[in-house]
Amino acid sequence: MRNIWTIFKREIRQYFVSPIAYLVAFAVLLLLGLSFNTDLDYRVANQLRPDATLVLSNFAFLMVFFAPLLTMRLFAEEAREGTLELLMTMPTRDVDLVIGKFLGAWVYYCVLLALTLVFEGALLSITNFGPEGFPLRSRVDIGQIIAAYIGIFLYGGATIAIGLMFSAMTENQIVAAFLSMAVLLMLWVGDIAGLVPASILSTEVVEALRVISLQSHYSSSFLRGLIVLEDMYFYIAIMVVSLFVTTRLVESRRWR
Amino acid sequence: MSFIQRVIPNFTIRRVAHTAAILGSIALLAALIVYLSESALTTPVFVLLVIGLGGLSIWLVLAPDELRDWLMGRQVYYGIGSFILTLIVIAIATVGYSLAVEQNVIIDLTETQNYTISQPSINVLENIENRLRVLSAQAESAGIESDLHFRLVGFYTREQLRDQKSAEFLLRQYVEASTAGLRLEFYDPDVNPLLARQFGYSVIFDNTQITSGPIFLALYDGDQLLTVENIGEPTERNVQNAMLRISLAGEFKVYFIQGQLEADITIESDVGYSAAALILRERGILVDTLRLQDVEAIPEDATAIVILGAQAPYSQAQVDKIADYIERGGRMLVLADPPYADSRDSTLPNRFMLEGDSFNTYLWETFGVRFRENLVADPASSARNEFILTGLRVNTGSPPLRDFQNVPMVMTLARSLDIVEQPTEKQAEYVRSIMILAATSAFGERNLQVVDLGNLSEFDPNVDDAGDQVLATAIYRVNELEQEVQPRIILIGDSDWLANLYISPEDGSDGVLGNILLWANIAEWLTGYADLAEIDVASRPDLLPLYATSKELSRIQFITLFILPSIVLLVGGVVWVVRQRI
Amino acid sequence: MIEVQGLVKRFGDFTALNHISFKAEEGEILGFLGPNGAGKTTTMRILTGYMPPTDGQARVAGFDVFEQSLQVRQRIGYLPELVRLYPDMTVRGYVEFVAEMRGLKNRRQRAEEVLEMVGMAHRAKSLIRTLSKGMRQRVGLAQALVHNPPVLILDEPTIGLDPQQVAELRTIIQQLGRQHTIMFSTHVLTEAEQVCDRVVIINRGNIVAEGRPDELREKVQDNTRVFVRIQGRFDEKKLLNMLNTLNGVEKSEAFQGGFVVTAKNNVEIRPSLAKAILEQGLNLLELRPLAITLEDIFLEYTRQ
Repeated sequence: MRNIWTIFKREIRQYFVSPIAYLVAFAVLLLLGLSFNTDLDYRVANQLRPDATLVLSNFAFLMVFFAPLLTMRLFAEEAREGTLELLMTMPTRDVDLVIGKFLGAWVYYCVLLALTLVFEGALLSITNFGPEGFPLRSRVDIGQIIAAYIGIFLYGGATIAIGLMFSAMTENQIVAAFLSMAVLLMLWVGDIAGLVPASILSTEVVEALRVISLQSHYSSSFLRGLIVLEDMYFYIAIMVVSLFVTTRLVESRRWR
Repeated sequence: MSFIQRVIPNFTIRRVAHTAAILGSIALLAALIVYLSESALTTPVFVLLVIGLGGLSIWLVLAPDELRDWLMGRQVYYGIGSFILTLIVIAIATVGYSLAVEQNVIIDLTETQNYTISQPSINVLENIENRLRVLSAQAESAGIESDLHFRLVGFYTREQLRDQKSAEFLLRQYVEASTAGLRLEFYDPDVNPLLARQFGYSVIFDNTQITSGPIFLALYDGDQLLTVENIGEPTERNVQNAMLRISLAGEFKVYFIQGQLEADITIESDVGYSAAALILRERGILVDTLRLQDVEAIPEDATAIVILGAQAPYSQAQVDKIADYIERGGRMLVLADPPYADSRDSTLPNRFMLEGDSFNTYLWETFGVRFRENLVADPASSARNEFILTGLRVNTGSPPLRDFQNVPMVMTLARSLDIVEQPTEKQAEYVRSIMILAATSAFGERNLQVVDLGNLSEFDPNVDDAGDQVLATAIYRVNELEQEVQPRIILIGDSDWLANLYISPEDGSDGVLGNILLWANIAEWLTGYADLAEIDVASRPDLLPLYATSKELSRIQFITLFILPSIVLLVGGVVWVVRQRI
Repeated sequence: MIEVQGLVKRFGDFTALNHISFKAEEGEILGFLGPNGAGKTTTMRILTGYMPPTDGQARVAGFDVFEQSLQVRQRIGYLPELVRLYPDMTVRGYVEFVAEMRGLKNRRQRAEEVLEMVGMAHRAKSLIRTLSKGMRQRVGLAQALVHNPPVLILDEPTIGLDPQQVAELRTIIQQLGRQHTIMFSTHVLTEAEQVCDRVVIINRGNIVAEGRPDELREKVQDNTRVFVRIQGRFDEKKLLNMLNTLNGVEKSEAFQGGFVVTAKNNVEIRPSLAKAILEQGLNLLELRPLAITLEDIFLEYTRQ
């Protein structure tokens, strides 16, 4: 436990002193800002209802590409740079090492996620808390936003756990990032596998893909304001399984 | 041997053994895949199996020490150990997932509780299932075997699996609450086109106008489909309405009174009122017309009567029949237009509900409400004409409007209502609940002679009606639930708002949402349908379109596209520079 | 403190360690000598629990390095070869991080102490990326020492240091040797000779010699070699031929402006050697037994 905290502190500090982390945050916020403003303009011009969860679903999609960038270094870089050798000869259980690193990345992710609250604030300033007048202000459902944030928070944990697993699998950061991007993308598009014609993917396969898809477990529940036990469980299970496999992979260095 | 080595350099027996082992493993894997896909022990599976086992045997014979080393090695021990442990963890996680699905724990955080079914909904479900039991019992006593049950059937294409999932979250709760085996089924309309046609499924998505489906409530006997009721989009209200329509089919009957130049509910043009009747029928309410002259009394089966924009006065005899009906607990809606010649029949001035006529007097003396002889004008109306009233103030505290959604509503050429301030003992038996007020800028123009369309009215403080102009009021008994009979009356100083033009225009557009909802709310309250379908849906401003001034939009752009990324970049830069100096 | 029994490590077909066994007692400084690729680093990695042995046993402070890896790791301070430290941490930050991982309470104080000990206190606030190789080596040593472990394993601690730094580091190791069991590897032989209580020489995964430096020297000295320096005109080839034919001479070769003559079976050849040279009409400038250094021993054992 103590070592988890030690590793976590080091990792989180690492994120906040590294220019890469700021560049990632900058890129994510800029992309989100562009899509957010485009969407606002479009909705105002076409008199459509506001969608408070759009920023979050975009954020979740961007994480398919950015989460691997956050996690690739965690083990692959240490293995490549040789710093892992000292780390692994410390009196630390491998699972503490894995959890510490995981929590560090997850907290950094949460900071990024928290920054997106600015977009929600902007939307609320012209809806629920907008100056009243005519035409009437629309409202967004704050409960729905809360549920969506809980969902995307858990989703992030799952993506990071998967990224971490690939980072522990290889010593090459780029390979780790590509592998986890590919897997995350597949798990992400699994939700919309139904768009593939039936001649290529049977409906059973499509439904099976949706069950393991990372997107489907927030798109029809959390994003709509629901906290569903099975979806919450799904993300936690993905995290637990991924971290378990990661621990076994790290541990395997000791007996391979 | 030397010959082979010349052809293949580095040839050793060990190498042959390895190649055989790899080929054998691949063949075994292929055999497994083929077997799983064909799920039968076909010839190719058999051949691959033989190749695989053969390859592995060659390896065993040529390099027997390797297998032994491999099996004894720590790598295998730990590798297989880790692998099995991982499988166990995954298996536990999977079992846990299905357990989690079974638990069906859903927390609905939406402010409007979009995905939670309320107790009244459960009551309605119980109600229809009880009727089902009665029907089954009847069939059994008649010696007919029956397996009557309801099914919630949803049609979602492969592309809409996501929507299906969220529909499932709501509908699953009905299955959970059911005591008579309600089933939930989903079909792909592309895969089951016949079934979809049987249900009348037709969903047009491109203009978001849903005609029928995707969710239906169906009554089955065994596997035989008996009746289908369209639910539409999966919301609690829709499901409940469908259930009520099934359970209340034929229970409610509304008579539109004819004989005093009332509006015609058969005319389908924009100035007709056919849509009003249609909306009632869609709710399973029977609709008929009634001439008071032709009957001794208003029939017992009348759930409510509607007097829709009469132009001629009611006689004392007619009023007596109405009074008798109300005494018996009848329900009545009166929509009266201002007493001047309107466009529908310009030769005769409207003489319905003049001050002092028998009907208006009855209303005043019994209920403490009467129609005024005025025309409500709103100089500040946002419409092109001051007699087109916008900015109406809706009292959602009034029972008929309890779940009214706060959306725009329009009334045109309306008269206001006079409500007693010091009720007599008789009047005090009733509650007068104001439903709709005109905008604060409105007044009641008394000079009906000079008022003509196109002319501007002018407020004359000596004659005209000042203050809040009441456009609609509901009347019901004090302590209604404790009364033997529960008469209900709604008086509205305008009939035009209910015309097809507003609730179902010919051009196919949606009409004025507020007017449609007002009619639905009135009908549900008068028939008592609302008492059954009691869903407290708070007003839904979230249905309004997003509105923002361009100033607000550019401010948001500035903050989200410039300030926020710049701060991140700046902090990053500062950290970088500081660390360069260490 | 360190017991290695029949340790084997294979990487695929390559055998890095082939049944090696050795011991290090408490308070002993054990030098681990061998050319590059001899298996020094592999042995140390196995001892620190970073890598498993293929076969055999290794125990540190009574704990098996594989089965009780955690206990072993608690009792070891390890300086890996080419110390890799987190470049984006400060020196003190890093040492404190290790101290925390090691479960120390008085981290700051302890970090300052060890940094003082290795002479890095003045750079405590610097980022590791800005340090020179030698300085990193010292930070690496500091982190290995921070929890005052009973066993120190130092892999090539002096590599890449300038001579003065090397000297300083040797002093540090010698001082530490009083309280710690130290095992350190090197291929610089003088270093082992100066510092170590005992030396293990390893080549191609096999232990070729083991013992105190002077013991080893004696062993080799038995096989007497004599250095002669000659003045006068002579043909080198002819002279070598002549020397080789001498009674009791195993071989001779040119060496540093003179000749090294090796005797057979410890035969004392110096008198006959001097006589033979003088008989040739040459002046004998120098005739002495060749000083045996560890380097010679090392070459001797690793040549085979």
